[in-house]
Amino acid sequence: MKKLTIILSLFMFVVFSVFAKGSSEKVKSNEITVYAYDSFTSDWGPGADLVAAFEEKTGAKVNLLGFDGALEMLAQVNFEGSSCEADVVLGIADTMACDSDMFVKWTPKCSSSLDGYFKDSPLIPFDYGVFAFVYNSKTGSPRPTSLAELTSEKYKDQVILIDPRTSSVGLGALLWTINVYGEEKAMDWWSEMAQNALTISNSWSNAYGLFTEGEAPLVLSYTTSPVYHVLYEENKDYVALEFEEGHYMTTEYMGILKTSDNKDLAKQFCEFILTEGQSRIATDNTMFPANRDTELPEAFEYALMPSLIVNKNVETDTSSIDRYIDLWTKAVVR
Amino acid sequence: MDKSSRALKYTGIILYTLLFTIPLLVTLSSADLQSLKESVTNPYYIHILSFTYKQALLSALLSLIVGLPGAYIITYRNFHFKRFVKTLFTIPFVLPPILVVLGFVIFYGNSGYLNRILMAVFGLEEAPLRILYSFKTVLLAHTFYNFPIVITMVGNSMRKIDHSCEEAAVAEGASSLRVFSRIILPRIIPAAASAAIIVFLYCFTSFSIILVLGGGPSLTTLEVEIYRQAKTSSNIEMAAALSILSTLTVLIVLFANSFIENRSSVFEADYTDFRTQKPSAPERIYLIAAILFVLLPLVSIFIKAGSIKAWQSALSTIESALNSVKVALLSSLVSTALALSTAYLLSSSAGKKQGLLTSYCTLPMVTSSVIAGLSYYVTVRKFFFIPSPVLLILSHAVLAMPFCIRSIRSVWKDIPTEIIESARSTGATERQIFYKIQLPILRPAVRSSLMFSFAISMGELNSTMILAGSSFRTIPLQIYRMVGSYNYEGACALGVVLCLICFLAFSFISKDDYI
Repeated sequence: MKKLTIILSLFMFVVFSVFAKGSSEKVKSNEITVYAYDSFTSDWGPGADLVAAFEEKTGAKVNLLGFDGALEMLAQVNFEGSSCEADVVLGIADTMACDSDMFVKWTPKCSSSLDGYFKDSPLIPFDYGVFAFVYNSKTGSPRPTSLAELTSEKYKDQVILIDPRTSSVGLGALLWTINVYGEEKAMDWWSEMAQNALTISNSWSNAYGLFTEGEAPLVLSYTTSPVYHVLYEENKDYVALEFEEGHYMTTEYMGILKTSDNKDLAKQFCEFILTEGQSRIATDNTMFPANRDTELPEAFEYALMPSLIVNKNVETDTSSIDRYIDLWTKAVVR
Repeated sequence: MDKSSRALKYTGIILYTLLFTIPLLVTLSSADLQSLKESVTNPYYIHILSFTYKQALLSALLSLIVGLPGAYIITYRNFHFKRFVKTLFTIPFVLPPILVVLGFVIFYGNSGYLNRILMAVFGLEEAPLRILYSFKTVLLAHTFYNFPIVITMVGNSMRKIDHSCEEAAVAEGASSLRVFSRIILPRIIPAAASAAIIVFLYCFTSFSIILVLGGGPSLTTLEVEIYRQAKTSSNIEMAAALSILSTLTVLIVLFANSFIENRSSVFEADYTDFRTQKPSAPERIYLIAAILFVLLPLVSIFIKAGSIKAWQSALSTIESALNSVKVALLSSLVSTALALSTAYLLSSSAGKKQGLLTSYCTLPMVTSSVIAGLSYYVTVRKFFFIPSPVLLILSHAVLAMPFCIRSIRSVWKDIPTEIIESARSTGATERQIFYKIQLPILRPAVRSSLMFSFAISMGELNSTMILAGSSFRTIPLQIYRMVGSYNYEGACALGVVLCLICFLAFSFISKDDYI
């Protein structure tokens, strides 16, 4: 029996030491961990290429970890608190209620050429986009020209929406409609759309996956989305639609956590994203790069820059967002 | 009683209380009055609650309707490959739900095999069966998952019915429909009700199936909402309030079930010789349809996994397989050790005390695993930080413990008391009796306990989704993520890996006598 106990404890020791390895890795000076949403880290996202290029340039190691959506990512950062593994958190949208005190204040070298940069803010913009519905013109189904039109019978099961509670894109669309309609009428729109839409997905990548699989001809996304298909698939079937009511713009930020053990390397990584990495962000994250000096590929002529942007002064502080979400949940089950 | 045997006796139950009951109570008590009130007054939560009940009721009803004829045929008819068919119908008991839902999507999905076959055969441009993301899909998937349970449970009970009445009725010239409705049906009602209740509970706490096939606030169950409240809204109070609602429902339903089970135990005999008749033509059609319904989605997992691309993406995430094996190995050791000690305690207590202890230790079976995961999530957040792999090991161990206790107890009960008594009279200590007599007899039971809890841990997704940190992925978690990003090939390849590992573990453990 003693033998068995010894074998068991040896075994436990070995396995626990294997697990322990994971947590001690962080201490290594030449390694950082980056949290991002899954469309950034997935096969078609810019993550893998950017990390490889950065690793080659600096000889450092980057652990890139993906989450179902930016909101789940932020919840995880809050949950892990001081033991958070991440050095850099990438993909916090301006629509999300985020406690910026978690992050280190620093100024990137190229700050003067960054769109959406606020002096002294620890959150650094790396790209921005404009929400729009993307349409698959090959399907031959009707082509809407306004938000209002989407609620009509014609578009029954033709639209894929995204949940504002889990996805920053979903939240962006909710703010888009509130900017256009005001709180009360926006909820009426969502209430009707909840009936009319094919589904309300958890994340942008889930929704866009459904869309490219051909499940529905319309999906909530960005005006830049068609660029990806032109660039990588030479496919011009996907079109971002300009709507009469105007469009809502969002900026995505990254930040370095105060708990990071390796802030210098984290800064280097962020600087890299803001300079050499910007064209990859443009083409593979298919958003407008924050750095104005970035040269855009020709395919960006397929990105729509709408004539009307509706970012008014709709409140986006935590309590307002909570109120919108509460109204929204009631509206979609009405 | 000597000290060490007392330690042996109580360690299990004490650790179990520390690892399961206390975190659960901590979690349920974090619900505040306001969340509790809101959970029953806010139209959104009312919608979720009523949807959860509605789909579970309908799924149970559908599973019953689809399963009952199968139970009848399995019991009363004789046909080739009967043993194979019976085994096939036990698969849902052992298969992780994420694999079931994966098979379902790649076979019945909008661009699944069935649609592609129909399009090719009838020359259609568009997929004729559009079933994803609707209430219908949820019902269909739940029926697919659960009707074999009805067949197995009701079939087992039918076997125990005294068949002389039917023979007499048939001799008198009654039609088989009449025999079924007048003689068989009344007597299987308790078993059918019991099966329906089990299916109801499975569907009531359904998680992965809803997460993948449902989508959207209108197709959300209580469990999915608890997960979302905890993981993305960080609203622990609300998650706890909803957990109370869920746990209450489960307890009430189980209470009702305990009455039915008492009644159904009237039939004890096993009349297995009454099975000579061949199935009729409609019965054949039913059998073939039922077999295909279950078999094809599972086979498609293996077909879809048969490409280079599938194995490339599975290999790129092979770390998840290593993680799964590590967690499953450790958790099976922990749960079996706890179960052994608890079984020792159970066997030395008697009567009401034993009954209460047994019910107490089966609690993890009836608490949903989402809530079990949540209870660690909340407790860790409140008190101290524990790395997520350790949390996974412990939660999987606790979830598997009732099954381990059951398999160890089933052998322990049959150890002849004379042997123990004579050992005692020759001066053996309790400790010696345990290690020298009981443990060697229990060896096969310990093996199957290890095997069970290993398999449970390998397939566990619900508590894992809540507890796994960002960097730690297990196979089911990776499959879920791959399904979410439409990498079905990779998901299927990993599904095959999961099946292979479990298969290997089963064969390894049953040969090795020294664990």
